Amino acid sequence: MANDLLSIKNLEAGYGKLKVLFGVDFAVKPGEIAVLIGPNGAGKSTVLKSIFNLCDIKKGSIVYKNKDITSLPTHERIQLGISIVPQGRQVFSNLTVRENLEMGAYLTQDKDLIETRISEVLQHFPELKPKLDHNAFSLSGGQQQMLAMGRGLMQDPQLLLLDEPSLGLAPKTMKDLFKRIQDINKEGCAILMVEQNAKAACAIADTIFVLEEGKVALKGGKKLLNDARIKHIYLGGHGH
Amino acid sequence: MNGFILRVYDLDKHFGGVYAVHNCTLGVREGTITSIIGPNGAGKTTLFNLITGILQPDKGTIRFQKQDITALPPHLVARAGISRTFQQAKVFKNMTVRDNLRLAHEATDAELKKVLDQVHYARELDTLAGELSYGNQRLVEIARALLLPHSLLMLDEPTAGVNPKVRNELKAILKALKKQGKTIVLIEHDMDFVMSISDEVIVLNEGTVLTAGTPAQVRKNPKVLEAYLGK
Repeated sequence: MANDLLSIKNLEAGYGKLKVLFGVDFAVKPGEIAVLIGPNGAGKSTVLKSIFNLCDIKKGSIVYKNKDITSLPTHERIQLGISIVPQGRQVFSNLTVRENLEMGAYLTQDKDLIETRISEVLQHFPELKPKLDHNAFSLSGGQQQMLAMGRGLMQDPQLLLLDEPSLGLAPKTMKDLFKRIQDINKEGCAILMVEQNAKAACAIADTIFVLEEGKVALKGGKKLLNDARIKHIYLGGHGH
Repeated sequence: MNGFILRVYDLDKHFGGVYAVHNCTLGVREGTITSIIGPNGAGKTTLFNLITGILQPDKGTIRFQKQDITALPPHLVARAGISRTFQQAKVFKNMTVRDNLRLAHEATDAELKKVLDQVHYARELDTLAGELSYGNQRLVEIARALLLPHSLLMLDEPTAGVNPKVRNELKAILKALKKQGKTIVLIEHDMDFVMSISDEVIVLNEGTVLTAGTPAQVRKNPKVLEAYLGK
């Protein structure tokens, strides 16, 4: 629909000969938190990678702000306001926290703007401030995840893609991180999050999509996890 | 009921401050297909790596056919009779299918073809493994694991990345192997696959056994879905 921020239609994608997505359809509205859940191998990360042009798109379309971006190179998607926070953080461990953030603004020439953005990021993640000159490897897992998110925010995106932000985090750290995700969202940035901790993710979601074998099997709001079909999707047994 | 071919007692393995496997105790009965399932990060592959000697446990014992194999290096575990495959099919891409297979066991072309028939592999022995589809690479990897003389076959996500046709072939292959008396342990995320071929399902969560039983028992246990959906 015209008022969708991101609209994906009949998307088929994968890696070389390997096809992972078999006709994915869904949309993200401006300013919402959308969550993609589903069992391992359902294709969740591949959906995010398709949006960021990090895999092979074979068929279908990706429309962002009414512009077809299906075959656009990654850097142009970033310029249009899409950022990704990859699975496993992928911070540059031998660079300082400040340098990591600057890498997130790679496409920006304006030094003052970069400084402004860093201070905005630090408002979301004040614990990074005393660490600005420390190498990223010295950060805890939770702080590295914050840095990865901070780096993603440096381009001031309108759509932030988060791939398994809770991975490897203690429950308390995860809860804290999800609160920050909500705060970032409240400032108008739409979130599309892939998360294995379905329960925690759905608690902050506006819209939930359940992916199964490369297709969207279910769509709904916060109560979707109570749906009986969820059990079949996670534990098998269709038609049993 | 058959006796245990493999037993794991109180196994621990930590990486930094995180326990990947913790107080893990389980058994695999001879002549059965046992599936190990559980959410991401439950410790399934670490458990495989501990059993096959790729990782050394911090604590605990692994017994295979009455032999203590705890902390044996991988080649001695293989010699003891455990053969395995990996999550990402590990074939040598610059080598032919024939050479890939002969790494596991010296065999004539006729013998190799027999094993390849068993896994429904229809291509030539001279093909470079890198030129095969992922599904066929997977079949070659399984054939290689079969060639190594073994009494326990361990498969880490055999259906990952293969098309539905190969998946169904795999199902038939595993059932046929079981009929021949082989014991098979698999890690698998495809639940329909797991539930349709397993005698026993062991559910791991946070490095430890959450529950175990027949597929029907496991599906009925509300704790299992809870573990998958997180807290």
